[in-house]
Amino acid sequence: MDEFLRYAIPGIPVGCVYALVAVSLVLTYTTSGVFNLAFGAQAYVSAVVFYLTVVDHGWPKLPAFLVAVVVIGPLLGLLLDRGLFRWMRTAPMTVKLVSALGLLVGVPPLVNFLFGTATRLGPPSVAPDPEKLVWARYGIVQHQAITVAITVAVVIVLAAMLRFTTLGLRMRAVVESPRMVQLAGINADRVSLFAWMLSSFLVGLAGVLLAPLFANVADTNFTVLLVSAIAAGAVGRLRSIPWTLAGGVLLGVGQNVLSGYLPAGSILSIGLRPAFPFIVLVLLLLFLPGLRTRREAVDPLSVCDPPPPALAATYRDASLDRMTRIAFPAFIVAFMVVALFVVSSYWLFLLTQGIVFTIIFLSITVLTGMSGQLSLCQAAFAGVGAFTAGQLASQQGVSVLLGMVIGGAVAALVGVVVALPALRLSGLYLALATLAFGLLADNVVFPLSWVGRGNAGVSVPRPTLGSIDFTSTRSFFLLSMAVFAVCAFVVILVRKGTTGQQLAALRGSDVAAQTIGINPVRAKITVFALSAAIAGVGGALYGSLQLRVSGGDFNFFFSLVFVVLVLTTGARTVEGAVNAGMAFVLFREVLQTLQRNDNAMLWIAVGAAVLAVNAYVRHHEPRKALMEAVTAVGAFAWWLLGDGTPSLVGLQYALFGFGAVSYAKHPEGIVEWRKRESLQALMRGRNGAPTDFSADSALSGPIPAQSSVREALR
Amino acid sequence: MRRSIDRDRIRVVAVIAALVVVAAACGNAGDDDDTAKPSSATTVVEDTAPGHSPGVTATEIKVGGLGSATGPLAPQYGPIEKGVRAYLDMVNDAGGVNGRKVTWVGFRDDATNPSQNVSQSRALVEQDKVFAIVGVAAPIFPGGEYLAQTGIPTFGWNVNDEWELGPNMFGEKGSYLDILHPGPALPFLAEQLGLTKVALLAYGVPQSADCAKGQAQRFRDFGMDVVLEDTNLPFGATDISADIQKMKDGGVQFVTTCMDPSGNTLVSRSLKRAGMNDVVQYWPNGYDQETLTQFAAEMDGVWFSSFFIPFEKASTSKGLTRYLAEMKKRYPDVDPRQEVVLAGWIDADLFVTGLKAAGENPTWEKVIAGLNKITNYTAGGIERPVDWTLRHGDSPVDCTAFIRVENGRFVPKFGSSSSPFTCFKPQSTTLSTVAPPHL
Repeated sequence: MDEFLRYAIPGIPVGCVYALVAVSLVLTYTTSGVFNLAFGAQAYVSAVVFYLTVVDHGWPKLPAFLVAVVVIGPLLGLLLDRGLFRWMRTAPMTVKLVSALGLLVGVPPLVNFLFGTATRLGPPSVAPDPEKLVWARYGIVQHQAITVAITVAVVIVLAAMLRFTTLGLRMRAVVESPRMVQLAGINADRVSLFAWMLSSFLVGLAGVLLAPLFANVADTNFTVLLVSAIAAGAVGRLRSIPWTLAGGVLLGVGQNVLSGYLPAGSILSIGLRPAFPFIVLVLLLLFLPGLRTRREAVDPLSVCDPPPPALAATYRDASLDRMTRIAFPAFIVAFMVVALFVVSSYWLFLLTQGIVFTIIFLSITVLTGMSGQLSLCQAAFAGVGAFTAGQLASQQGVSVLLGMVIGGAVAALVGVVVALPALRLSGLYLALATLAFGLLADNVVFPLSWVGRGNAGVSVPRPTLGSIDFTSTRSFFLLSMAVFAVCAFVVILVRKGTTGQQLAALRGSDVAAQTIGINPVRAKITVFALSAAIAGVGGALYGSLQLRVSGGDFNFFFSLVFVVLVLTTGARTVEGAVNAGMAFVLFREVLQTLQRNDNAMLWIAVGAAVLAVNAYVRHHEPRKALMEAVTAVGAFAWWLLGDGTPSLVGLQYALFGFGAVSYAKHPEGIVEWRKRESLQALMRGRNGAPTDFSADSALSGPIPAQSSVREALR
Repeated sequence: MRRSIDRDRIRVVAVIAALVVVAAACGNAGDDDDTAKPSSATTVVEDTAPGHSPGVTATEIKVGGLGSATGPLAPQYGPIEKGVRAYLDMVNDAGGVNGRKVTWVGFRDDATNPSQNVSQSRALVEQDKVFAIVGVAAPIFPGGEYLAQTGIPTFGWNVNDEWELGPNMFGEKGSYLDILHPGPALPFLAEQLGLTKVALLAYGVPQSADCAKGQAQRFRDFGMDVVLEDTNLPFGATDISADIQKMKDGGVQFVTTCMDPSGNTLVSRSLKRAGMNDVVQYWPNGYDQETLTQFAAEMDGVWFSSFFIPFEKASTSKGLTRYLAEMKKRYPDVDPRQEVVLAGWIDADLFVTGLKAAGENPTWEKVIAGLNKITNYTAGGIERPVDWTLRHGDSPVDCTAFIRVENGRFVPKFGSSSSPFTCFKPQSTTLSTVAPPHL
């Protein structure tokens, strides 16, 4: 027993940090329906502010703590609720989740931009003498004791507040039914605002308590919270605060006990120990009854999304169609001529990278665009393809082209394995399961020497095909274009074909689709496998382009960036994926180039000013114009007064992340939205009649004649 | 309905079948030839002039650096630029090399992102058209594969496998790291301190795990008791109390880690929490002043090793004295007592040495051939000798300077008045030392 306690007790403090974050997650999820995955980013903000005030500015710990946790934490919550999530109360789950993902992706680079990327070694603890032993028998020090004390106090106060105060009663009522609460004359918005501020305070607290466990304050450290905290929340069925606390502590203790009893070096220890939180999460998602059904039980319409409107292209009249048929091939030819003969070999390489990313992004077009399911592990599928091709080429001498096909097949197989839970899960829970898989691949599978070999990576040679050698960038560009054409063809084929239509039906309502004879199991598995296969082929191609790939290329963070970016540009069309692929590469390059320019901030100011004028004059969007004007003024002031160009590298993730907020307004994607607008303007000009095929609601727009839809689908 | 499903299926199967047929008729580039040879350069680099002397004019030679200037690990890698530039500025102030100035085009930042590491490597070669890449420091260096294939002379901090890929790749301490078969330095240290019960801790990633496995084998070779060998800690671990408990139960006297500062400080704190203050620790990294300032308590009593003359013994080395003086003059804000900065300085020295050997009309091939003839390179008496004729393989003598933290300061240990190094035959089966070479 004593041995058990000696393993178990030191796990409690870390478990408490998991619990704090999990409680905050549960609070926001139950009161606002937002599964706030951005908590890692929020925790990072508080940890950085605490570090800056204490270490850089020499503040005493108490005022620093007050500013970092009690002021900044709730302030962030206030901003998120008022500025963003309040407007999404009735939005579908995907919209809320993507917005939260956007923040998770966008906030840390913004913090680094604002506060610099200097090393923040030795994060301070809130404890006056952090390493002083307070319970020598179990090696518990002051920092750990304070962590436990704070967590227990917070949970008791919170539980009491929810149980005994009017506000608590209202919060519980909002959880049960926001509509009933509104009918009873209670302002559900205000209750939700309070919940956001409270939960953000808790996350800030967790950030400050967690930071000293690492040697420096870095955003990546907070990802360890991600799966553990979600798993802890799942123990509490995303509902019960005491159970969530218990879940967090059990997880912390479980990890330690496993480390203690599993013999070091054994297969079990190698496989099970690092994967423990992921396995717990997936098992809970799959087998904990009641976890998945709560919200759906309250609101029977919550799982039934209206069908998305038809694509803008289907509204084109015959003459426009003819024009497109000529213009599109002309554009492709022009693009290839420019790429092959005008730009430098370096830019050709970048364009090729853009095409290869486009192929990977097509996997999201298939999965999310067609079935509406959200997968947060597409980069992991790409990794599976790349490592399969690389290992086969370097170990077995198999051709990379064949390796690409095998890589795609292996990825498809993995996709099927991941899809199996999708049969039981959907929406949020499927996204969480794929997130767990992505992190598992990242932390456990890719470092294995027969997979990705950690940072050392695997080399993936360039292929040859008969006498054609794809070693040069030019020939590889042509190969990439060919693979892209094949993948795009398959995507369009499937979208227009039976599977695509079945998926569209399933997306609307599982039950209704089944009543007309659609087999959801087969459709879901097919789409997951196809999506994973495309990602796998894209990943293998990426490997061959780069010549060497490692786990870092397919980090789970990229899975999030990919989804956020593709959903922002447009997940339902190939054009959306192309724009996302090119944006992913070119934004990075533009920022790199700007970084090397002393007057970068002036250029940014000019660019933002042009965008502001454009938004105001052409698009009549005063709010957007104002934001861009503020950016322009800020950048100009920085150029005038600041000390050189700040660190711009990595800022593209902030742009992509915050761009995802537009997804709430334009779920069809920016590309499709703009296309719709210009088509509308064009056709209005031609017909002289008002034309409106607004995407905001499928029901508000005119329903195109059946024949034209059929025509378009053919 | 039935018909359309079949048609769908046939189309998809046809596409896949076509792909398989095409893929079966193919091979891989470089299957038949040695891609590491500079001659393969023409296949990867299209824009370089024949003879491979891009970036060379009558008055200047363009070079650039590459590494992680931003991103989570930037502080451990980015500062290499300062060491390179201080050396090149010094050379330029003295008139350059053969009448040409060495022009620094900039340090390309990969943002600690492997994809950018490749594109920035390409940018240096294809966009900036530099003659050589001087000062590479990145935790992940996939661009090395491309650079090795192009054949461009590349100089950097040897902490990645890619440095072994070709004769054009030059690490500051040689281009070979056999972490699975280390020399007997750590068993020697344990024996000197009278310690026989050992524990090794590493992350479950190959580089870290292999380091610990290699060291564990060496301890066993010399009859020491490896009580715990945990090569599977999750990266970003925040609690290792279970391992510490096992060490306590097994009476461990000496702990070696193969981890980063987060892991190392965690080990140190956890040992102290368990009251194991007498356990001796060895860290593979952290021999720099800034880390010591931040973690004075955790590093107290910890042992380090160094392949160069310890900064505390700078007075015994002209080269190191000059390095410290130049750094103070050119970068007064940068603490030069960091391995990565010194690595940059050595890289630049190695490049300039090669450039001088290449004569009036330098080409890649001449620089590489010139360097790979040197048998006793010490960067002006700074580091243990590197025999570049063994190209990029193992060295005949493995020298290490031991350092221990005492009262908040690094203190060199062992060695002699003439040399701080303790040297071994790398695969020696005894713990006997050999005389350190003259620097």
